[in-house]
Amino acid sequence: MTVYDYSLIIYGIFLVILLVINLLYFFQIFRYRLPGDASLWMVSIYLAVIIFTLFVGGLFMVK
Amino acid sequence: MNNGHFIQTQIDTNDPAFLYLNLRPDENVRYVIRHHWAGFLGSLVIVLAMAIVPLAALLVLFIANPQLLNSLSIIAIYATSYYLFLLTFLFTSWINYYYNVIIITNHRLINVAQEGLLSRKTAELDFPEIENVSADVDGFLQAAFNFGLLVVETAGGGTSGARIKPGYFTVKDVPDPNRVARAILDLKEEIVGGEDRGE
Repeated sequence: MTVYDYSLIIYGIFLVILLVINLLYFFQIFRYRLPGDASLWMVSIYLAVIIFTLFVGGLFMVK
Repeated sequence: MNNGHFIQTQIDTNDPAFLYLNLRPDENVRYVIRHHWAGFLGSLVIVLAMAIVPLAALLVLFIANPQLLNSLSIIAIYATSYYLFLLTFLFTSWINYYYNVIIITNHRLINVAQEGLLSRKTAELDFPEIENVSADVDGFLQAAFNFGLLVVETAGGGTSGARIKPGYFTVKDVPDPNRVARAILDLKEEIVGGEDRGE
């Protein structure tokens, strides 16, 4: 296994942890958001930026 | 500076979103007040700095040592992890800021404090317990954007949102705190005055 392979494994574990944390936050938002607030807009923007970061990062990760 | 968008007055009390407050049968939500965005500014500046500095450092390193481009895939893994962490940190800060709300009903004042992941603290104060309400606007930023500390003096031991000292119920970063203080005093007069007159 190369440094690259180990790094990808660490990255994978990190993504799983991040996914769990974000799911917990989404649960909180859908539980406590108030009518007419900006929560859904913010979640949409946040998801778009996360997906963009994953995509751009993924482009450079490919050997 | 108009802070109207932070202070919501048209509220449907029957909305399921208010269920967790366990409102009394005759209780209506009069105001929902969010903290001023300037309270979130500190986190935003820190995250922006933490995003720009490493990117600039990487650019300088790549220019100074083009050999590093051979390790671009590994650098990309760690850089992506770093930016994902930063985004999650920013989102956490936003939730902590945005989900701090003050809810004023026709019976009580409720301060809901979001403190990180899955931690939410609710402090409440019935209107008859309120002795006095004042607003502290300190410094250039607070004066420019009209926000500050709301201090509610209580009759009993007190329930303190920020727990600065007993007998005081305090909420920081309240938009237009003088207007909020006035609204609380008017509601107190309406409710306590009505009770005194036997209404």
